[in-house]
Amino acid sequence: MHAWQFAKAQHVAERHGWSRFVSMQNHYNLIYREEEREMVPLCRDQGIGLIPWSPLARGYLARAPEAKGTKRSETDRFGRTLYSSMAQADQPVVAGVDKLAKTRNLPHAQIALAWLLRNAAVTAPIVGATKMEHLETAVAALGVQLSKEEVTALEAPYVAHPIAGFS
Amino acid sequence: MREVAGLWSGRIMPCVPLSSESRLSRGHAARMLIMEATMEYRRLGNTGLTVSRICLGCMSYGDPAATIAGSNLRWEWALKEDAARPFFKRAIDLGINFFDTANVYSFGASEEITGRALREFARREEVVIATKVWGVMRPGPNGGGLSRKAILHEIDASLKRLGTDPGRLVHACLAIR
Repeated sequence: MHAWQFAKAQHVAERHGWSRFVSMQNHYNLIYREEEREMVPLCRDQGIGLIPWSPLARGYLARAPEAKGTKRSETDRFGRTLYSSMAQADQPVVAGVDKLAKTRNLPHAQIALAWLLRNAAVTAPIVGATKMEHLETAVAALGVQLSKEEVTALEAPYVAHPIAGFS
Repeated sequence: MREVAGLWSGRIMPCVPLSSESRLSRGHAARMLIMEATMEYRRLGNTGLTVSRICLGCMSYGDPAATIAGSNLRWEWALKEDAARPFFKRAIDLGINFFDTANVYSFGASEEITGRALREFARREEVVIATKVWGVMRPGPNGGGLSRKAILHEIDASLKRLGTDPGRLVHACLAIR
């Protein structure tokens, strides 16, 4: 949802003495960072916990570009709508994750998750797992620290995206 | 507000730094890292809830055949209960106490599997389950959406499928799209 809609909902709740929303589940990952404009700062300011969905961008950030995807990557129709229109622009970011994963000898998913986890506004990314290694790899990302230079390199190729995940 | 917000970013358990050996080989690395990494926990926003920094998303646990009339939603990749259960056991063992599902995932099957697995493998007072309302659960009027009627009905239905009662276990996360 748009940040202004969330701010409005909180305002309405407050005015009526209702419960305010305590968490925001938003679409946020290395190839979709539009949330950094308004939603992330809003939540940080208001003490709202961020629990991003698709932190691995439906798998695009979880494997080498040439690697075969999971059954989900073939059958998740909603997932396909999220990243197809910007696939070309996302390619350098995906390549950056691939490069760093190979340099540091870590699974791709750990690079992408470590990037989210280093953000103090992010409470917990929501990670799906259809193979046990998905789950174990995600937890192990908590032990991965990225240097400032690594973060800069990961972020540099990003370009503005049309809104994806809500309308 | 500011004081409470400070609490929100507090790290409760430190993460054990990695040794250089754990980066030796890629296949090995994931396994070794797990042994060395300690689960971290955070407050969920300004609430007092403590959640693990990895939330297990449960959309992939359900029923690949689940469908309702008038909807083209499918979860063809979803693992059925027998295949899904070990993921909950492992998640609990790894320190995960935060689980995300939705009423609409496999049209209720994801919540049922999540509820049964966590009742078996977890201490209910420790885990935080987030679920959602909005998606269409059945054809016809008020089958989805965010009216008061739909929200109250769906929360009851979700709690039943999760096999729990509010306040104790469920943090209802209302996803508005």
